[in-house]
Amino acid sequence: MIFVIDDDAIMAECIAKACSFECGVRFSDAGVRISDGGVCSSDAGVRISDGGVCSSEAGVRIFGDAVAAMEAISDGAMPDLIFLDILLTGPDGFTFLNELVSYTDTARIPVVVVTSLEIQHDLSDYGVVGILNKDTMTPAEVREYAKKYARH
Amino acid sequence: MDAEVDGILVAAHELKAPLSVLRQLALSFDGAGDGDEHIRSEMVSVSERAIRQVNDLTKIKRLSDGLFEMEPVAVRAVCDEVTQELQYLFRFNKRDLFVKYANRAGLVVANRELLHSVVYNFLLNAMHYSGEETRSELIVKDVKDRVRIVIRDYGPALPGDVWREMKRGFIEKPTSIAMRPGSSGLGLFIASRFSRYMNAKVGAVRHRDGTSFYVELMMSRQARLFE
Repeated sequence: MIFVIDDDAIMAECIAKACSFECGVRFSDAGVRISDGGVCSSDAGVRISDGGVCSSEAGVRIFGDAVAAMEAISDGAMPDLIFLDILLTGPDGFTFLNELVSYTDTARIPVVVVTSLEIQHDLSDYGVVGILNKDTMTPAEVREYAKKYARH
Repeated sequence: MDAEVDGILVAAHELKAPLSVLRQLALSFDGAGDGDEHIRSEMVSVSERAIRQVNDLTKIKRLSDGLFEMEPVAVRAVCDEVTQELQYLFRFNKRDLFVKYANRAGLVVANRELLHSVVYNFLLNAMHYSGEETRSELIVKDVKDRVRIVIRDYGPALPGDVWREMKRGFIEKPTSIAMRPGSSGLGLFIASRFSRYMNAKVGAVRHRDGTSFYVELMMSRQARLFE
């Protein structure tokens, strides 16, 4: 299971799609759409919860904010990998990272930061295994991380 | 900073996210038709150019923080990098790009990232204002203790007000250049700001059939130790 946390629903969908190809399921087949409110909806194969959260058959769940993602983890969904935006609505990505390392079970979850910010600091103590720049990243780079860290 | 310019920089910052999304969408696009791959790569290329320009604008805001270090930079390597990046665009728009290195000094005092942007913006400007089947030229040469990078286009002549600003060595803000359709002078504005930061001299020479823009950078003394 991969979590994508980004308040930009279209960017999140692009990341999820890149991961989904790795799972052998075309994301478009899952019928994910983005509604006006930036919330995922679907025709088939996608589960939706109230907090702007959706998940596809391919094992990718999209969250519009850090709180919804943290709640999902509290409910028992333990992701293999998290793609995390930093500038989120509500608590930002750094707050989320801090929350993750506060618990022994979540501290080991690998996180890939996906941002337009120029981050020079080493975030490996927060479980960050990579940083992707939104301006230059490619689906292949996203896929590489999915392939390396996510169990399918 | 001028309020109008400040507004432009804020707008640029706001454009960053949607442009990145457009690029990702283009990269994720699965076309089925024969020409789809070409359309996809065009979409990626256009959005990448827009992102670059927006990033350059946001860098202007950061110039005052002095975060861009000056160091010896291999001028030819930077020019090669830019020409390679823009070669496809020139070809696609049926324009030629002629490059000539006549400089002996290899290193200049500059910030690599900013110098790349200056050459990129001047060249992009030249491509826009050259007619089809014409060529733009990038010539690097020594001028006393400086290295001059000249970018020549064969487009409409530069209007008086921009010419005066270029002679002064600094463009205050982007202006509408009516004689050069489709231009806000944004590239020149960016190049001018970055050049000033690097203590480089910028200028323009008017020709009957176009304009040459140039930037002059100090040769690196460090390089002379090896000569």
